[in-house]
Amino acid sequence: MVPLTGDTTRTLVVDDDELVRTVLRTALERLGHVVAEAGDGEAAIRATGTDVFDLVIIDSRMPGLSLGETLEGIRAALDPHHPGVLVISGAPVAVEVLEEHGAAYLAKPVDLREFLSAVRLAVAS
Amino acid sequence: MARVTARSVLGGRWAASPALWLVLFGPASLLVVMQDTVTPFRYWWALPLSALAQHVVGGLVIVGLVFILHQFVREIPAVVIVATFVIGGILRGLVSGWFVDTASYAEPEYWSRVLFWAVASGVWLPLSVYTASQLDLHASLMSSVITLRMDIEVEHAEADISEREREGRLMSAVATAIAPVIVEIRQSLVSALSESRRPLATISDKIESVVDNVLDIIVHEPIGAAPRTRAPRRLLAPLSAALNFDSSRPVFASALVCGAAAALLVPDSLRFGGTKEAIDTALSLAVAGVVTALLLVFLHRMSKRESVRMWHVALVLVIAAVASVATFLLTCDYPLYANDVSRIFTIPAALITSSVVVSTAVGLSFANLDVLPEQASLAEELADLRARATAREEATREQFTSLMHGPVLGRLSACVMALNFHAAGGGGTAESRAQVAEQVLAHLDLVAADLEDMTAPREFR
Repeated sequence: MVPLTGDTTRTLVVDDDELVRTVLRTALERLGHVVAEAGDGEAAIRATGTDVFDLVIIDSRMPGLSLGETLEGIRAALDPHHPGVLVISGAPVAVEVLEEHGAAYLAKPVDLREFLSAVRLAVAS
Repeated sequence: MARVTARSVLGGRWAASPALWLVLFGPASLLVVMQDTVTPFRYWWALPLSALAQHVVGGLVIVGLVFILHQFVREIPAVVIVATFVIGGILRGLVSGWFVDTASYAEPEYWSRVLFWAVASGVWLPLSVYTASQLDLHASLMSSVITLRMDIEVEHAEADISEREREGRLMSAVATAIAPVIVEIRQSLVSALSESRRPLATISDKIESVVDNVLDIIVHEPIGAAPRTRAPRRLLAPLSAALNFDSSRPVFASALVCGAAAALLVPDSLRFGGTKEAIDTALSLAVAGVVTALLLVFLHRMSKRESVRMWHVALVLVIAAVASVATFLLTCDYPLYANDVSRIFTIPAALITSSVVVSTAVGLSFANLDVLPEQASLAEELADLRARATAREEATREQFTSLMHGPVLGRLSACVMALNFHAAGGGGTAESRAQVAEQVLAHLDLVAADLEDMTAPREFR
């Protein structure tokens, strides 16, 4: 777990694919983010129990908890702090889940430029 | 398919069918020959020419008038159609008389010829049109029922295919499509590791196209058991089926048979033998009608309301014909003349002809009434089976999408992202380039291994 301190943007990347996590981490670190990783929903909730995040980038389909359940857990763990949420997925995601958590959506495979602008928007919101 | 009523068929397309008119040329010509056998024509060809001219004139007038009427109304009232047939008959009679007048030594006898053809056309044309329509409908219905049954069999076979088999088909389609491409991409990556100038972005494009291909297969690859059947050609109704009819209206059928036979015989009896012979002929046909009705009622009760068999109908007909001829011989004046002797043959011939046409029409109409609900029920069953098949297929595709998400689509997307991000970030150092390529290679190996595992025969899995 990466310790998160100071005013930098703290981002949690949740994806069951290690390569995706590595790729996103590299891109985010170049932006100046401090990045933590989790391989599934439960690990993500655990991570939010110890650290506070400004942005959660999450895959919609992972083993274990569903996207809705994971986002619920993260929200409960971080309350009253509300991080920006960016869902990256190769599969369609229910609009209700996105709306409920004020999440943005990007379809995999993601283009770097597209990804960076979505990250900026999510952080700003 | 709508039910055919007498009113709808008389006003429908068969009323003005040139094909039907062509078929009727044979029996109509036979009537002409019978009518003018003893007419002393000056030329041998006058009789066949008269038959042809009568049929052409009558046909042109009837088909033409009905065609014109169809331009104004979709379904012509039955009365108007019958009137048109009678007009055609009157013209036939006039043409017939004209030929006798100009090409023979006999009197034209216009009134009797006009009467004969008006009555014959007024009775026999509606009957022929009705029979042709029922035959046409029967052919369509049988063709439709057979097609529906074949389609239902296909759907049942489809339903027997398990979820696993359907997934297996998709899986093998995916593996067949992408396995060689993955090998090719892998080779490109290995080359990229040694040639620093080869752009990783092009490899990324290739992987992205593999992802698209997989998605396309998941959505569009057919996974059904067999293609839907094509409609067979329209079938002709077998005559035996027509004559195996439900005799629930024996009195009506018998009256129709005798009425139709009377239309052929009574006007000519009047012409040749006067009122007495016309009455004798009518009486003998009435006896045939009563005998037919009684025997059909008897058969109907004996067969416990099931269909009357063809040979039963034939036997009834023979008995009725014998009774009819016997009645004629008992009532007619002696000595017998040629026209009286001809009645001994024409009465059974007219009865047989009428019976075949009427029983075909009645038999087919009952058969069609039976087939209509069967056809509707089969269509409903097929629609239901197809809806279930569609739901099953959608469920399979959804399930398969989940199955493919992580091991194949997710990994391939990760490869694309890794290569794209590396390229868009300026390419990085040779070291980072090699690192990305190796990570992608490892991922592609995992995809290939998973695909191989998924498509391996089940007993080894």
